[in-house]
Amino acid sequence: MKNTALIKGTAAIAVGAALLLGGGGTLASWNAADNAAPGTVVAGDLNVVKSGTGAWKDRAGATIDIATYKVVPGDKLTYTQVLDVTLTGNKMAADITATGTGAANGFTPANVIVSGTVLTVDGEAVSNPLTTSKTVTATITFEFKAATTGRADVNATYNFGNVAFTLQQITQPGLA
Amino acid sequence: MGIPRSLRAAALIAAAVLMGLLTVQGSYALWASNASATPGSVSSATFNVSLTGMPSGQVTNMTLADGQAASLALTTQSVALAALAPGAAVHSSVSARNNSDAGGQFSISVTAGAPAVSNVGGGSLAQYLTVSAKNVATAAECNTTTGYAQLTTAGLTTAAVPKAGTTVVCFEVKLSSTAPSTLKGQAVNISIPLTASQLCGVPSGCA
Repeated sequence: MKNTALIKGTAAIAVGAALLLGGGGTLASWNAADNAAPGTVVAGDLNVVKSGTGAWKDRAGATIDIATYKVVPGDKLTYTQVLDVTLTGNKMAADITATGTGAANGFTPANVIVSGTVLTVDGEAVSNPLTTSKTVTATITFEFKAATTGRADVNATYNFGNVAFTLQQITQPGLA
Repeated sequence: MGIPRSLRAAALIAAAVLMGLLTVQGSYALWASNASATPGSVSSATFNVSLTGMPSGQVTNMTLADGQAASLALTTQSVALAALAPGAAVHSSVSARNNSDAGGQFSISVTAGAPAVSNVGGGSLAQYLTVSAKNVATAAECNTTTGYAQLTTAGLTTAAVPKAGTTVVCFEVKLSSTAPSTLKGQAVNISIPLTASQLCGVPSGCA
């Protein structure tokens, strides 16, 4: 009984295969071909790099060497770092942020005013997200208050540590 | 019956892996770029004023290493002032040098306050003495008697002394011409407080 079913099945497969082989005859009929050129997909770019080294200036706008400059009450110093932001892509959008780490304040906190890192484009505060390439200026100000009394904070040190600038792409409509 | 133990374990592992992936996915999503800057350190200057007393020749910093105010003797037993006679005056001086290492502008002025004159050995000489002062450029000018003004509680404040600059405050002690002869041989101690102050270097003023 079992052998009969096996033989029947094998026969059916053989018939089917034969039918498929017979279908090859349709190649002889009409056919047509054409080409399409989808073009080239080009990726955009996203990058942030420092443009030169940052510079410190005093209240009068004169460039100073922070490694040797000594502040006194009434001094106000400004640090400026220019960043080249490259953003290319039809749906490109990215947020730029600055994060300070490792700062160590050896001054009496009440005697100094230290700003966070302020990012500007053409003198205006950065409005995230950015969508095109820009020159972004990062600024930090350090003011040793003139109201400091006695000999407070002579020979003190404020270490700014590292300031990290992060350019992070964000999801735009049409991106998943 | 229930879900086999192996299936339950597999489900738990799958859930944990999924949650792990969800929590870190932000760092993989989309492009990001970083740059960093090192602004460096801001250091404050010293406020260092050195004093030289004449005729003693003693030199000291206004503020000692332990932060205390220094005391400078203008005369000593070996370098004493000339003896005073009624109507006569003796002179001494202190020169102050601005030794600050400030990076920017740092000018100071020195103020000599009201003198404290105390008799030595129960005498009464003090009330016949007047102490005057004037601000000059060199100690040699102290011996000219013009320009002295009596030191009061308002004190005498010098002109601005820029970094590495020096100013001289002359002191004149004068014995009244009405001093009685009973004062002969008496002595006094005169103590004058000196204060150095930073002058405002901010164009818009230091409120």
